Amino acid sequence: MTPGMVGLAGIAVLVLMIMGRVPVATALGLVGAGGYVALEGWAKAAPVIGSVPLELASAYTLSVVPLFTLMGAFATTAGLSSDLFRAANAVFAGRRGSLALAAIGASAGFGAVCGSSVATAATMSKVSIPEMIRAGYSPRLATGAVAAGGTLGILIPPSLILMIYGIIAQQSVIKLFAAALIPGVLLTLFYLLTVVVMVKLKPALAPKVDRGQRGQLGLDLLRIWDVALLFALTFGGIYLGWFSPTEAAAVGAFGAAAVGWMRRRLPNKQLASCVSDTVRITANLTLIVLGSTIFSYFVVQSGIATSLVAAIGGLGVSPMLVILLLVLFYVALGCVLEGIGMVLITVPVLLPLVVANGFDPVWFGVLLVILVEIGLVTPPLGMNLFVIRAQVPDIGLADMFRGVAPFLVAPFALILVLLAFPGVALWLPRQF
Amino acid sequence: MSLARWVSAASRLLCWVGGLALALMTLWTVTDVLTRYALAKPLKGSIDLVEATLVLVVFLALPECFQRDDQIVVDVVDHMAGERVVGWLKLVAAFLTMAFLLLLGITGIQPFLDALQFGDRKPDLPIPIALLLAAIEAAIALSVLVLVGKFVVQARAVLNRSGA
Repeated sequence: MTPGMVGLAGIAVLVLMIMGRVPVATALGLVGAGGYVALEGWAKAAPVIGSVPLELASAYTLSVVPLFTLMGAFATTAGLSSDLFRAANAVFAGRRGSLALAAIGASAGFGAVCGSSVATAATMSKVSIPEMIRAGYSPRLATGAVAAGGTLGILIPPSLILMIYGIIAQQSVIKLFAAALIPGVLLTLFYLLTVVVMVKLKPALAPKVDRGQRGQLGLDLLRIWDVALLFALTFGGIYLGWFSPTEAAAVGAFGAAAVGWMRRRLPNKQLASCVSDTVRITANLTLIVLGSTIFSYFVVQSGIATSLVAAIGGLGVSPMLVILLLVLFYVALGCVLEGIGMVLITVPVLLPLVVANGFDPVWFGVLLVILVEIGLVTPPLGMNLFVIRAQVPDIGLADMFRGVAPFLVAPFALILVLLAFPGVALWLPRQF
Repeated sequence: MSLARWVSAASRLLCWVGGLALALMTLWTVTDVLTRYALAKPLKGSIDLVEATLVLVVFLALPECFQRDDQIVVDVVDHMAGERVVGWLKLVAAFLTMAFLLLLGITGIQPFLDALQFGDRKPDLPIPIALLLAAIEAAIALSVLVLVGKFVVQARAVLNRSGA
């Protein structure tokens, strides 16, 4: 058996294992280790596999994962989402669909302190959906807006998926965060535009709410000064060269705890629970990254990634067609795999192909996050919708999927923008 | 105290130690930033401390993750296959996960022995590398025990279902 054939067999076994309910980390690690042993023998494989846990777990760059996750956990528990929703609501008050617009605006704001899409969707659904339903909004619009808005959590920095991608693809987290900022703002605008068009075409979706709250604008905006300061300090600090990403994440986590404490919304028990949840999330994520690292060693040894690059190069396919095919592949993959799994399984194999076709790995990281976002709101997985369903069980999943469908135009439009103008993602990181 | 309870208590305890390590990592880093800007005196060994506590954060919570079945699993098959098939798949998954952890544990023994023999330490803070590797091995061993318990429970459930 040639190394390439072992590589292909390994990928087939990996897919079978993952589809057969084997945890993603286990499947990646076992296939990677088994493949490596098959290619190089146990004597060479054992020291490589044995060195991965310590090398990975003591990598300074990995420390941003627990620290930014902790910042998000504190921000969620401290109820910052409700203040952000109130402030966004004050901005949009008086417009038709103002509450849906506010949900999206607040999700973008919350995404700036929380790197998880699911956490953003969960917390925003609690805060905004009951209010929209009370105001007579269509449940489809209400859940669609929150599910779509929730996806902003992983595009607007800090983004958990981008941090994981940075580790696997060996790219600077600072550059990845900078690259995601403008696309994140654009996607927010596209989502807002979707609501505006939807309620223009079908006013019954969102009855007009009186603009009484408009006068509150200054007061409500003032109420989120600490959240704005936290974001500015954390990310401004990185780009002004004050902090390393790890330091910024630690300052952010400490700051979020301080904000929660000042608002008297973070009692000791909750604080401890945030820390405990964060270590479990980190342990789980790192085990998958560990499996993926072993798998990527196997991919390199098998030469399958280089063979793929050579095979596609030999076909004479244009780089644009390659990337469009990858987009279709990831959209299909998003239907069966959750986001982190998607990134960790595919990046070791496909990134060399992307780079060989002249695409910047930082740009591809942003594209990948947008594709993961699509998977978060499309059936059958659609994690964001399941999370929202848990908060509002009266609204059916079918209604939710229909509600989010119009919002899917936005990420696809953003992908087209990124393909046509890569500078949208690459301009900001090139300034540093 | 039964073995299962002991394992469960030990998992929770390790998770809390991981939490303390995270708190230490956060506070140390913030203090380092503050002292660097306020007193122009950064704390010595900050990178070493972050790297060492990170090992504890990452690995000590693993047994508790397995205790709670927190791993990411693609469960599309649940909607297509019957309860019995899914039961068997869960059993196989538990077995394979044990195998993966045992592989990590076994291959990790040699680096631990090497670190112990040569007395490797972090460059700025005298933290022995063997201590970190021992923490990893202990977390993996406890995780395997958790998974053995899960495997036995799952095997009983599957066999009972088959018997019925």
